[in-house]
Amino acid sequence: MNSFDPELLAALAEGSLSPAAAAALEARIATNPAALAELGIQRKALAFIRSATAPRLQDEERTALRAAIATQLGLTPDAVPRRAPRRRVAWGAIAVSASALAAIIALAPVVGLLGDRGGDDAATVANEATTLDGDAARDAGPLGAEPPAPEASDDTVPLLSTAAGAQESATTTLATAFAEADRTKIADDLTLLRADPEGLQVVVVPTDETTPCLQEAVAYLGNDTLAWFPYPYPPEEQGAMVATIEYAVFVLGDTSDGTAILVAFAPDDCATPIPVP
Amino acid sequence: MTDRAEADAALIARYLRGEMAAFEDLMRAHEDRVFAVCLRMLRDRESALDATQETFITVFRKADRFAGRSAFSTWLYRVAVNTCYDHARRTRRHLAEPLPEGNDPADQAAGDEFGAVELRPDLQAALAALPDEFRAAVILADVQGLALQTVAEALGVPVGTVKSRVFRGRRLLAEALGNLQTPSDTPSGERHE
Repeated sequence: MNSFDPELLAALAEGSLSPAAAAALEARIATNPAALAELGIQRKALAFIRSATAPRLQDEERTALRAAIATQLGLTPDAVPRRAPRRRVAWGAIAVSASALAAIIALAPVVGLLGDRGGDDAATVANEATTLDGDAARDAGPLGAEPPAPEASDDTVPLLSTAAGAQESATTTLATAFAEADRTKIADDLTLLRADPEGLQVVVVPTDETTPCLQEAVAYLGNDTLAWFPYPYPPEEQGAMVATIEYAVFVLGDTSDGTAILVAFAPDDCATPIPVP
Repeated sequence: MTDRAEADAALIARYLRGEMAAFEDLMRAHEDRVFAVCLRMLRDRESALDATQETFITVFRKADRFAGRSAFSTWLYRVAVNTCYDHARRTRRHLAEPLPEGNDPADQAAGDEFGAVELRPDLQAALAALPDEFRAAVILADVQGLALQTVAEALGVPVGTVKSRVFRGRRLLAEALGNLQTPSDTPSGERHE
């Protein structure tokens, strides 16, 4: 265990403490080599970060970017798109490695359109953006006249259409909060994720006290050495979004039989796992 | 609400009324910062331009659902980061595929991304070594200089998680930088607020 508060050390390194608080903390850690070393690490990283200049768009990039966006939005019919964003790579295209399947992975969707977390909406908005196919004709329309989707909730930034069940009450379990089709899609998607353990390993992080559904995951999986990451549930490539879900991904170590365990928890109560075969 | 946030809310309202000038003003106010986030997240200028474009298209298309209860920029960063996550995931898969003909990694021109990125190669490489979540937190909090609460809203995680990711991200960054020289002779960096 650390004998110092990492958050305070980080704040001290970035200079966000008051002079009095900074002085007090510095005095307190003066004889703590571990804390001093950590402070040095934090300061070193910050010094490098702050040595960087801010990248900016070049003039021609700026012009082309605005023209492309305006065209996609139907604002300037004569504008020429810079080029259409690439389409999403289908999960199904990912090769399944037999050896990779030896990894034991458990996954849990934890964040849907939570009633009080409007920012999560943007995750799916962002994903929806990645499905743009450059079809300006399809996207064109009067300025700002896109038909509004149903409001997700009383969020800070209510942006998205949602799954039919996403507006259920906060206490609704996943079994009723999402339609069966959503559950099937979740299972299918997690199965594909399971087949891409190398990709998962790149992005997972250790759990901490803020990890959603961690206690339930530990109890369910019988393992407390988990890792996770919030994974935006990809919307459909075409048509309306069917769900707005983020996963928390729990990754276990190898097991003797090489089987994978995937489980999805209800985001609101963490009590209704969706098992994935 | 900050002046910028108030101005953005007003611009969104004007945009929804069909004022083309509002679109231009919103782009002017935010395009460089969004691009900077995307470039640091993705390291590749072309990918960053794609992600920037996707981000703004998404935001403008959904502008009618922006209720103004949080800053427009927070929403914008949120969309940008998630768009970059998606790009990064796709890129990781592309990395497993053969390079297209003519794309020789030994070709200086093909690999000249660092110069365009305007970040020091050592720092850029160190940032790239971070897991996505840590990198996003470090970029938004330390590189872009956003408040932790804003970062938390943008990433959709609690402030405590942001603090943890920033702390650990810096540590990983320092480890990745290893024995590189200290930046004592580098110019002061720009810090957005």
